[in-house]
Amino acid sequence: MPEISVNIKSSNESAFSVSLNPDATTVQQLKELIASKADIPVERQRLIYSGRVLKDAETLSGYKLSEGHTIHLVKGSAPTSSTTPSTTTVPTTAATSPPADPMPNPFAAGAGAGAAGGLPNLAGLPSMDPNRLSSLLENPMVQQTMQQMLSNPQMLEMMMSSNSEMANMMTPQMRQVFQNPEAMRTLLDPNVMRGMMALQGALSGQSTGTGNTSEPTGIYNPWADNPSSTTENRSAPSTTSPEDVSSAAAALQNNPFLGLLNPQSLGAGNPPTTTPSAESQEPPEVRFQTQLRQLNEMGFYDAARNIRALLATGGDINAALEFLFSNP
Amino acid sequence: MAKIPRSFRLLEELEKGEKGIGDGSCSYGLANGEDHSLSTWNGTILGPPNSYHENRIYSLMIHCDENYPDAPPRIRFISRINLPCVNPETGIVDPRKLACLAHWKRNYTMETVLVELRREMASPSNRKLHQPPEGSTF
Repeated sequence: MPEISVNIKSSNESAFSVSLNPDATTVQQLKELIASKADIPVERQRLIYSGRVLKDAETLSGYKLSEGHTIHLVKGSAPTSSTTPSTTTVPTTAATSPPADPMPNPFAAGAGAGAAGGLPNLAGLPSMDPNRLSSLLENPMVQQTMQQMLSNPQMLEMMMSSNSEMANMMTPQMRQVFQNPEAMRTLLDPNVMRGMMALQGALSGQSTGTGNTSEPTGIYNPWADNPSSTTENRSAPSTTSPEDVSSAAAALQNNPFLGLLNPQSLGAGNPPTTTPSAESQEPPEVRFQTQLRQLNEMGFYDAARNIRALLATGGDINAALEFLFSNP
Repeated sequence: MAKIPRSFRLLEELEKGEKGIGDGSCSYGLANGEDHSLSTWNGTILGPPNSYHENRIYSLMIHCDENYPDAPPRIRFISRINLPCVNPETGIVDPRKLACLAHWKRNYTMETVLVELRREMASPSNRKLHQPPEGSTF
Protein backbone atom coordinates (compact mmCIF):
# COMPACT_ATOMS: atom_id res chain seq x y z
CA MET A 1 0.00 0.00 0.00
CA PRO A 2 1.42 3.37 -0.93
CA GLU A 3 1.97 6.21 1.46
CA ILE A 4 -1.01 8.20 2.57
CA SER A 5 -1.24 11.56 4.19
CA VAL A 6 -3.17 11.95 7.42
CA ASN A 7 -3.85 14.97 9.59
CA ILE A 8 -2.80 15.15 13.18
CA LYS A 9 -5.00 17.53 15.11
CA SER A 10 -4.18 18.61 18.59
CA SER A 11 -6.84 20.12 20.80
CA ASN A 12 -5.07 23.42 21.32
CA GLU A 13 -2.58 23.65 18.53
CA SER A 14 -2.85 23.78 14.81
CA ALA A 15 -3.05 20.64 12.80
CA PHE A 16 -0.29 19.24 10.65
CA SER A 17 -0.12 16.31 8.33
CA VAL A 18 2.20 13.34 8.13
CA SER A 19 2.82 10.88 5.34
CA LEU A 20 3.06 7.23 6.20
CA ASN A 21 2.47 3.75 4.99
CA PRO A 22 -0.34 2.39 7.16
CA ASP A 23 0.69 -1.24 6.60
CA ALA A 24 4.22 -0.70 7.75
CA THR A 25 3.68 1.84 10.49
CA THR A 26 2.75 1.03 14.04
CA VAL A 27 1.11 3.47 16.37
CA GLN A 28 4.34 3.61 18.34
CA GLN A 29 6.23 4.66 15.21
CA LEU A 30 3.62 7.28 14.41
CA LYS A 31 4.05 8.71 17.88
CA GLU A 32 7.79 8.95 17.33
CA LEU A 33 7.11 10.78 14.11
CA ILE A 34 4.78 13.16 15.89
CA ALA A 35 7.30 13.69 18.68
CA SER A 36 9.82 14.90 16.13
CA LYS A 37 7.32 17.36 14.69
CA ALA A 38 5.26 18.56 17.60
CA ASP A 39 7.70 18.45 20.50
CA ILE A 40 5.50 16.23 22.63
CA PRO A 41 7.29 13.23 24.12
CA VAL A 42 6.00 9.86 22.94
CA GLU A 43 4.88 8.78 26.40
CA ARG A 44 2.65 11.83 26.74
CA GLN A 45 0.90 11.35 23.43
CA ARG A 46 -2.48 9.78 23.20
CA LEU A 47 -3.96 9.31 19.79
CA ILE A 48 -7.64 9.00 19.03
CA TYR A 49 -9.09 8.01 15.71
CA SER A 50 -12.73 7.27 14.95
CA GLY A 51 -13.71 6.86 18.53
CA ARG A 52 -10.80 4.68 19.51
CA VAL A 53 -7.67 5.19 21.52
CA LEU A 54 -4.87 3.84 19.34
CA LYS A 55 -2.73 1.13 20.90
CA ASP A 56 1.03 1.33 20.42
CA ALA A 57 1.58 -2.16 19.06
CA GLU A 58 -1.08 -2.05 16.34
CA THR A 59 -0.37 -1.06 12.78
CA LEU A 60 -2.31 1.83 11.39
CA SER A 61 -3.91 -0.27 8.68
CA GLY A 62 -5.58 -2.23 11.47
CA TYR A 63 -7.52 0.91 12.26
CA LYS A 64 -8.57 1.39 8.62
CA LEU A 65 -6.84 4.71 8.52
CA SER A 66 -6.96 6.18 5.03
CA GLU A 67 -5.98 9.20 3.01
CA GLY A 68 -7.08 12.54 4.40
CA HIS A 69 -8.36 11.23 7.70
CA THR A 70 -7.69 12.93 10.98
CA ILE A 71 -6.14 11.60 14.16
CA HIS A 72 -6.68 13.57 17.34
CA LEU A 73 -3.66 14.09 19.50
CA VAL A 74 -4.24 14.52 23.20
CA LYS A 75 -1.47 15.46 25.52
CA GLY A 76 -1.59 13.51 28.74
CA SER A 77 0.54 13.64 31.82
CA ALA A 78 0.31 9.94 32.38
CA PRO A 79 1.79 7.27 30.16
CA THR A 80 -0.45 6.15 27.33
CA SER A 81 -3.65 5.06 28.92
CA SER A 82 -5.14 2.39 26.82
CA THR A 83 -7.89 0.28 28.22
CA THR A 84 -5.54 -1.93 30.19
CA PRO A 85 -6.79 -1.96 33.75
CA SER A 86 -3.26 -2.09 35.11
CA THR A 87 -2.35 1.42 34.11
CA THR A 88 -2.18 3.60 37.11
CA THR A 89 -1.82 7.29 36.74
CA VAL A 90 1.69 7.72 37.95
CA PRO A 91 3.36 10.50 36.06
CA THR A 92 6.54 9.08 34.64
CA THR A 93 7.77 12.31 33.24
CA ALA A 94 10.84 13.49 35.04
CA ALA A 95 9.48 16.83 34.09
CA THR A 96 11.17 20.12 34.61
CA SER A 97 7.88 21.77 35.25
CA PRO A 98 5.27 20.16 37.46
CA PRO A 99 3.12 17.92 35.30
CA ALA A 100 -0.61 18.19 35.44
CA ASP A 101 -2.04 16.26 38.30
CA PRO A 102 -3.54 13.25 36.58
CA MET A 103 -6.11 12.64 39.25
CA PRO A 104 -6.84 15.80 41.08
CA ASN A 105 -8.09 15.27 44.55
CA PRO A 106 -11.53 16.85 44.42
CA PHE A 107 -11.06 18.57 47.71
CA ALA A 108 -7.65 19.87 46.89
CA ALA A 109 -8.82 21.10 43.56
CA GLY A 110 -11.80 22.82 45.08
CA ALA A 111 -9.80 24.39 47.80
CA GLY A 112 -7.09 25.36 45.40
CA ALA A 113 -9.39 27.00 42.94
CA GLY A 114 -11.36 28.67 45.63
CA ALA A 115 -9.51 29.61 48.72
CA ALA A 116 -6.04 29.89 47.37
CA GLY A 117 -6.60 30.64 43.75
CA GLY A 118 -9.76 32.63 43.67
CA LEU A 119 -10.42 36.02 45.07
CA PRO A 120 -7.37 36.48 47.22
CA ASN A 121 -5.31 36.15 44.11
CA LEU A 122 -7.34 38.73 42.35
CA ALA A 123 -6.84 40.91 45.33
CA GLY A 124 -3.14 40.83 44.83
CA LEU A 125 -3.35 41.86 41.24
CA PRO A 126 -2.24 45.15 39.92
CA SER A 127 -4.95 47.47 38.73
CA MET A 128 -7.42 45.72 36.52
CA ASP A 129 -8.63 46.75 33.15
CA PRO A 130 -12.43 46.95 33.41
CA ASN A 131 -12.99 45.35 30.05
CA ARG A 132 -10.75 42.52 30.88
CA LEU A 133 -12.43 42.04 34.19
CA SER A 134 -15.90 42.02 32.82
CA SER A 135 -14.99 39.54 30.17
CA LEU A 136 -13.49 37.43 32.89
CA LEU A 137 -16.62 37.74 34.95
CA GLU A 138 -18.79 36.73 32.07
CA ASN A 139 -16.81 33.60 31.58
CA PRO A 140 -19.12 30.82 32.73
CA MET A 141 -16.24 28.93 34.22
CA VAL A 142 -15.24 31.83 36.40
CA GLN A 143 -18.81 32.42 37.39
CA GLN A 144 -19.16 28.85 38.33
CA THR A 145 -16.07 28.90 40.49
CA MET A 146 -17.21 32.06 42.18
CA GLN A 147 -20.64 30.67 42.84
CA GLN A 148 -19.26 27.50 44.22
CA MET A 149 -16.79 29.29 46.35
CA LEU A 150 -19.30 31.63 47.77
CA SER A 151 -21.82 28.95 48.49
CA ASN A 152 -19.39 27.40 50.89
CA PRO A 153 -19.38 29.31 54.18
CA GLN A 154 -16.12 27.78 55.32
CA MET A 155 -14.41 28.90 52.18
CA LEU A 156 -15.66 32.39 52.77
CA GLU A 157 -14.42 32.36 56.33
CA MET A 158 -11.04 31.28 55.09
CA MET A 159 -10.95 33.98 52.48
CA MET A 160 -11.94 36.59 54.95
CA SER A 161 -9.34 35.68 57.46
CA SER A 162 -6.63 35.41 54.86
CA ASN A 163 -7.13 38.95 53.70
CA SER A 164 -6.69 41.61 56.34
CA GLU A 165 -8.52 44.20 54.31
CA MET A 166 -11.51 41.97 54.12
CA ALA A 167 -11.27 40.94 57.72
CA ASN A 168 -11.65 44.57 58.69
CA MET A 169 -14.75 44.83 56.61
CA MET A 170 -16.35 41.81 58.16
CA THR A 171 -18.78 43.51 60.40
CA PRO A 172 -21.69 41.41 61.59
CA GLN A 173 -23.93 43.10 59.04
CA MET A 174 -21.52 42.16 56.31
CA ARG A 175 -21.46 38.61 57.46
CA GLN A 176 -25.21 38.51 57.24
CA VAL A 177 -25.06 39.72 53.69
CA PHE A 178 -22.52 37.12 52.77
CA GLN A 179 -24.73 34.41 54.10
CA ASN A 180 -27.59 35.56 51.94
CA PRO A 181 -27.25 33.75 48.62
CA GLU A 182 -29.58 36.21 46.93
CA ALA A 183 -27.42 39.14 47.91
CA MET A 184 -24.29 37.36 46.80
CA ARG A 185 -25.74 36.60 43.44
CA THR A 186 -26.62 40.22 42.95
CA LEU A 187 -23.18 41.30 44.01
CA LEU A 188 -21.49 39.00 41.59
CA ASP A 189 -23.73 39.72 38.66
CA PRO A 190 -21.36 40.80 35.88
CA ASN A 191 -23.66 43.67 35.03
CA VAL A 192 -23.55 45.00 38.53
CA MET A 193 -19.82 44.58 38.62
CA ARG A 194 -19.45 46.40 35.36
CA GLY A 195 -21.60 49.21 36.62
CA MET A 196 -19.45 49.43 39.69
CA MET A 197 -16.30 49.45 37.64
CA ALA A 198 -17.62 52.23 35.46
CA LEU A 199 -18.54 54.17 38.52
CA GLN A 200 -15.16 53.64 39.97
CA GLY A 201 -13.54 54.79 36.78
CA ALA A 202 -15.61 57.93 36.88
CA LEU A 203 -14.72 58.51 40.50
CA SER A 204 -11.03 58.11 40.11
CA GLY A 205 -11.14 60.83 37.52
CA GLN A 206 -10.07 58.72 34.59
CA SER A 207 -13.04 59.75 32.59
CA THR A 208 -14.86 62.43 34.47
CA GLY A 209 -16.37 65.08 32.30
CA THR A 210 -15.90 63.17 29.10
CA GLY A 211 -19.43 61.97 29.40
CA ASN A 212 -18.68 58.78 27.53
CA THR A 213 -19.65 55.25 28.33
CA SER A 214 -18.69 55.63 31.93
CA GLU A 215 -21.68 57.87 32.43
CA PRO A 216 -23.39 55.74 35.01
CA THR A 217 -26.80 55.70 33.48
CA GLY A 218 -28.99 53.54 35.54
CA ILE A 219 -26.30 51.84 37.44
CA TYR A 220 -27.83 49.21 39.51
CA ASN A 221 -27.21 49.45 43.16
CA PRO A 222 -27.48 46.01 44.65
CA TRP A 223 -27.83 47.37 48.14
CA ALA A 224 -30.82 49.47 47.44
CA ASP A 225 -32.59 46.78 45.59
CA ASN A 226 -32.18 44.20 48.21
CA PRO A 227 -34.00 45.28 51.32
CA SER A 228 -33.83 41.83 52.79
CA SER A 229 -30.07 41.89 52.86
CA THR A 230 -29.46 45.46 53.79
CA THR A 231 -29.60 46.43 57.37
CA GLU A 232 -31.00 49.70 58.59
CA ASN A 233 -27.74 51.59 58.72
CA ARG A 234 -26.82 50.58 55.21
CA SER A 235 -29.74 51.97 53.38
CA ALA A 236 -27.79 53.31 50.46
CA PRO A 237 -29.53 55.65 48.03
CA SER A 238 -31.23 53.89 45.23
CA THR A 239 -29.67 55.32 42.15
CA THR A 240 -26.54 57.20 41.51
CA SER A 241 -25.91 60.17 39.35
CA PRO A 242 -22.45 61.45 38.58
CA GLU A 243 -22.76 64.37 40.94
CA ASP A 244 -23.88 62.21 43.76
CA VAL A 245 -20.35 61.25 44.53
CA SER A 246 -20.82 60.61 48.16
CA SER A 247 -23.45 58.00 47.67
CA ALA A 248 -21.35 56.48 44.95
CA ALA A 249 -18.42 56.29 47.25
CA ALA A 250 -20.59 54.68 49.85
CA ALA A 251 -21.74 52.15 47.34
CA LEU A 252 -18.19 51.47 46.40
CA GLN A 253 -17.11 50.89 49.90
CA ASN A 254 -20.03 48.67 50.42
CA ASN A 255 -18.98 46.29 47.74
CA PRO A 256 -16.08 44.38 49.17
CA PHE A 257 -15.55 42.58 45.94
CA LEU A 258 -14.78 45.65 44.04
CA GLY A 259 -12.31 46.60 46.70
CA LEU A 260 -10.81 43.22 46.36
CA LEU A 261 -10.51 43.51 42.67
CA ASN A 262 -8.81 46.81 42.76
CA PRO A 263 -7.17 47.44 46.08
CA GLN A 264 -4.87 50.15 44.79
CA SER A 265 -7.55 52.55 43.84
CA LEU A 266 -9.25 52.26 47.20
CA GLY A 267 -6.18 52.43 49.32
CA ALA A 268 -3.90 55.38 48.87
CA GLY A 269 -2.03 55.31 45.62
CA ASN A 270 0.37 52.55 46.28
CA PRO A 271 2.60 51.94 43.32
CA PRO A 272 1.16 49.01 41.45
CA THR A 273 3.14 45.87 41.72
CA THR A 274 4.69 45.19 38.40
CA THR A 275 6.12 42.05 37.01
CA PRO A 276 9.83 41.63 37.16
CA SER A 277 11.30 42.41 33.80
CA ALA A 278 14.87 43.05 34.75
CA GLU A 279 15.83 39.45 35.22
CA SER A 280 14.43 38.36 31.89
CA GLN A 281 17.50 36.27 31.25
CA GLU A 282 16.19 33.66 33.62
CA PRO A 283 14.07 30.88 32.17
CA PRO A 284 10.34 31.62 32.24
CA GLU A 285 9.72 28.85 34.75
CA VAL A 286 11.79 30.76 37.27
CA ARG A 287 10.73 34.21 36.27
CA PHE A 288 7.04 33.45 36.41
CA GLN A 289 7.22 31.09 39.33
CA THR A 290 4.61 32.94 41.37
CA GLN A 291 2.25 33.41 38.48
CA LEU A 292 2.62 29.78 37.48
CA ARG A 293 1.74 28.70 40.95
CA GLN A 294 -1.28 30.97 40.96
CA LEU A 295 -2.44 29.63 37.62
CA ASN A 296 -2.01 26.14 38.93
CA GLU A 297 -4.09 26.94 41.96
CA MET A 298 -6.78 28.30 39.71
CA GLY A 299 -6.95 24.98 37.94
CA PHE A 300 -4.75 25.54 34.93
CA TYR A 301 -2.56 22.51 35.10
CA ASP A 302 -0.92 22.59 31.73
CA ALA A 303 2.46 24.07 32.58
CA ALA A 304 3.54 24.51 28.98
CA ARG A 305 0.39 26.43 28.14
CA ASN A 306 0.67 28.54 31.26
CA ILE A 307 4.21 29.50 30.37
CA ARG A 308 3.18 30.33 26.85
CA ALA A 309 0.35 32.50 28.14
CA LEU A 310 2.64 34.27 30.58
CA LEU A 311 5.29 34.83 27.95
CA ALA A 312 2.74 36.21 25.55
CA THR A 313 1.45 38.63 28.15
CA GLY A 314 4.71 39.58 29.79
CA GLY A 315 3.81 37.89 33.04
CA ASP A 316 0.58 39.80 33.59
CA ILE A 317 -1.59 37.23 35.24
CA ASN A 318 -4.87 38.90 34.25
CA ALA A 319 -3.91 38.96 30.65
CA ALA A 320 -2.58 35.45 30.91
CA LEU A 321 -5.92 34.29 32.29
CA GLU A 322 -7.72 35.95 29.47
CA PHE A 323 -5.31 34.36 27.05
CA LEU A 324 -5.94 30.93 28.54
CA PHE A 325 -9.68 31.38 28.46
CA SER A 326 -9.78 32.63 24.92
CA ASN A 327 -7.42 29.94 23.64
CA PRO A 328 -8.85 26.78 25.15
CA MET B 1 -38.69 18.33 3.37
CA ALA B 2 -37.48 14.93 2.34
CA LYS B 3 -36.19 12.72 5.07
CA ILE B 4 -32.56 11.73 4.76
CA PRO B 5 -32.46 7.92 4.81
CA ARG B 6 -30.64 6.13 7.61
CA SER B 7 -27.66 4.99 5.56
CA PHE B 8 -27.00 8.43 4.12
CA ARG B 9 -27.10 9.95 7.50
CA LEU B 10 -24.76 7.39 9.00
CA LEU B 11 -22.31 7.64 6.10
CA GLU B 12 -22.30 11.37 6.61
CA GLU B 13 -21.54 10.91 10.29
CA LEU B 14 -18.88 8.33 9.46
CA GLU B 15 -17.10 10.77 7.20
CA LYS B 16 -17.32 13.51 9.76
CA GLY B 17 -15.84 11.21 12.38
CA GLU B 18 -12.97 10.08 10.18
CA LYS B 19 -12.11 13.56 9.01
CA GLY B 20 -12.18 14.71 12.59
CA ILE B 21 -14.49 17.63 12.08
CA GLY B 22 -15.14 19.27 15.42
CA ASP B 23 -12.88 20.29 18.23
CA GLY B 24 -11.52 16.83 18.95
CA SER B 25 -13.12 16.56 22.37
CA CYS B 26 -15.39 13.83 21.06
CA SER B 27 -14.61 11.27 18.41
CA TYR B 28 -16.53 8.41 16.87
CA GLY B 29 -16.24 5.84 14.12
CA LEU B 30 -17.48 2.45 12.99
CA ALA B 31 -16.34 -0.33 15.28
CA ASN B 32 -15.84 -2.65 12.36
CA GLY B 33 -15.07 -1.33 8.88
CA GLU B 34 -16.88 -4.29 7.31
CA ASP B 35 -20.10 -3.56 9.14
CA HIS B 36 -22.28 -2.62 6.19
CA SER B 37 -25.29 -2.16 8.41
CA LEU B 38 -23.46 0.77 10.02
CA SER B 39 -24.80 -0.28 13.40
CA THR B 40 -22.00 -0.55 15.90
CA TRP B 41 -19.81 2.42 16.62
CA ASN B 42 -17.00 3.39 18.92
CA GLY B 43 -16.87 6.73 20.60
CA THR B 44 -14.46 8.57 22.82
CA ILE B 45 -14.94 11.57 25.02
CA LEU B 46 -12.01 13.59 26.22
CA GLY B 47 -12.58 14.50 29.85
CA PRO B 48 -13.43 18.18 30.22
CA PRO B 49 -10.84 20.37 31.91
CA ASN B 50 -11.32 21.59 35.48
CA SER B 51 -13.12 18.44 36.42
CA TYR B 52 -12.21 15.08 37.84
CA HIS B 53 -12.26 13.83 34.25
CA GLU B 54 -9.49 16.09 33.03
CA ASN B 55 -6.85 14.26 30.97
CA ARG B 56 -8.93 11.10 30.85
CA ILE B 57 -10.25 9.50 27.71
CA TYR B 58 -13.55 7.66 28.01
CA SER B 59 -14.47 4.96 25.52
CA LEU B 60 -18.05 4.18 24.61
CA MET B 61 -20.03 1.84 22.40
CA ILE B 62 -22.82 3.30 20.32
CA HIS B 63 -25.47 1.20 18.69
CA CYS B 64 -27.62 2.62 15.92
CA ASP B 65 -30.40 0.18 15.12
CA GLU B 66 -32.54 0.23 11.97
CA ASN B 67 -34.76 2.93 13.44
CA TYR B 68 -31.94 5.45 13.74
CA PRO B 69 -32.15 8.44 13.36
CA ASP B 70 -35.88 8.34 14.04
CA ALA B 71 -35.03 6.70 17.34
CA PRO B 72 -32.01 7.56 19.48
CA PRO B 73 -28.92 5.35 19.51
CA ARG B 74 -28.14 3.18 22.50
CA ILE B 75 -25.02 4.23 24.34
CA ARG B 76 -22.86 2.28 26.72
CA PHE B 77 -19.69 3.37 28.47
CA ILE B 78 -16.78 0.96 28.23
CA SER B 79 -14.57 2.99 30.54
CA ARG B 80 -15.90 3.01 34.04
CA ILE B 81 -17.46 6.31 35.00
CA ASN B 82 -19.54 7.67 37.83
CA LEU B 83 -22.31 9.80 36.36
CA PRO B 84 -25.98 9.99 37.36
CA CYS B 85 -27.18 9.09 33.86
CA VAL B 86 -24.91 6.03 33.59
CA ASN B 87 -25.88 2.69 35.10
CA PRO B 88 -23.15 1.92 37.65
CA GLU B 89 -23.31 -1.83 36.91
CA THR B 90 -23.45 -1.95 33.14
CA GLY B 91 -22.25 1.41 31.89
CA ILE B 92 -25.43 1.84 29.87
CA VAL B 93 -26.57 5.43 29.53
CA ASP B 94 -30.11 5.71 30.82
CA PRO B 95 -32.03 7.40 28.00
CA ARG B 96 -34.51 8.86 30.47
CA LYS B 97 -31.77 10.67 32.31
CA LEU B 98 -30.02 12.33 29.40
CA ALA B 99 -32.08 15.13 27.90
CA CYS B 100 -31.04 14.66 24.28
CA LEU B 101 -31.98 10.97 24.39
CA ALA B 102 -35.20 11.52 26.32
CA HIS B 103 -36.29 14.21 23.87
CA TRP B 104 -34.66 12.81 20.78
CA LYS B 105 -35.00 14.73 17.52
CA ARG B 106 -34.25 13.38 14.12
CA ASN B 107 -31.56 15.94 13.40
CA TYR B 108 -29.57 14.92 16.47
CA THR B 109 -26.44 12.92 15.78
CA MET B 110 -24.08 10.71 17.70
CA GLU B 111 -21.98 13.80 18.16
CA THR B 112 -24.92 15.54 19.83
CA VAL B 113 -25.05 12.75 22.38
CA LEU B 114 -21.30 12.64 23.01
CA VAL B 115 -21.12 16.39 23.41
CA GLU B 116 -24.02 16.34 25.85
CA LEU B 117 -22.42 13.55 27.84
CA ARG B 118 -19.24 15.60 28.01
CA ARG B 119 -21.26 18.56 29.22
CA GLU B 120 -22.76 16.34 31.90
CA MET B 121 -19.26 15.48 33.08
CA ALA B 122 -18.41 19.15 33.36
CA SER B 123 -21.63 20.23 35.06
CA PRO B 124 -21.16 21.74 38.51
CA SER B 125 -22.92 18.89 40.24
CA ASN B 126 -20.95 16.18 38.46
CA ARG B 127 -17.50 17.47 37.77
CA LYS B 128 -16.16 16.71 41.23
CA LEU B 129 -17.78 13.30 41.55
CA HIS B 130 -15.31 10.71 42.64
CA GLN B 131 -14.37 8.50 39.71
CA PRO B 132 -13.12 4.94 39.47
CA PRO B 133 -9.44 4.55 38.56
CA GLU B 134 -8.61 5.50 35.02
CA GLY B 135 -8.46 2.56 32.64
CA SER B 136 -10.98 0.39 34.48
CA THR B 137 -13.82 -0.93 32.36
CA PHE B 138 -17.42 -2.04 32.79
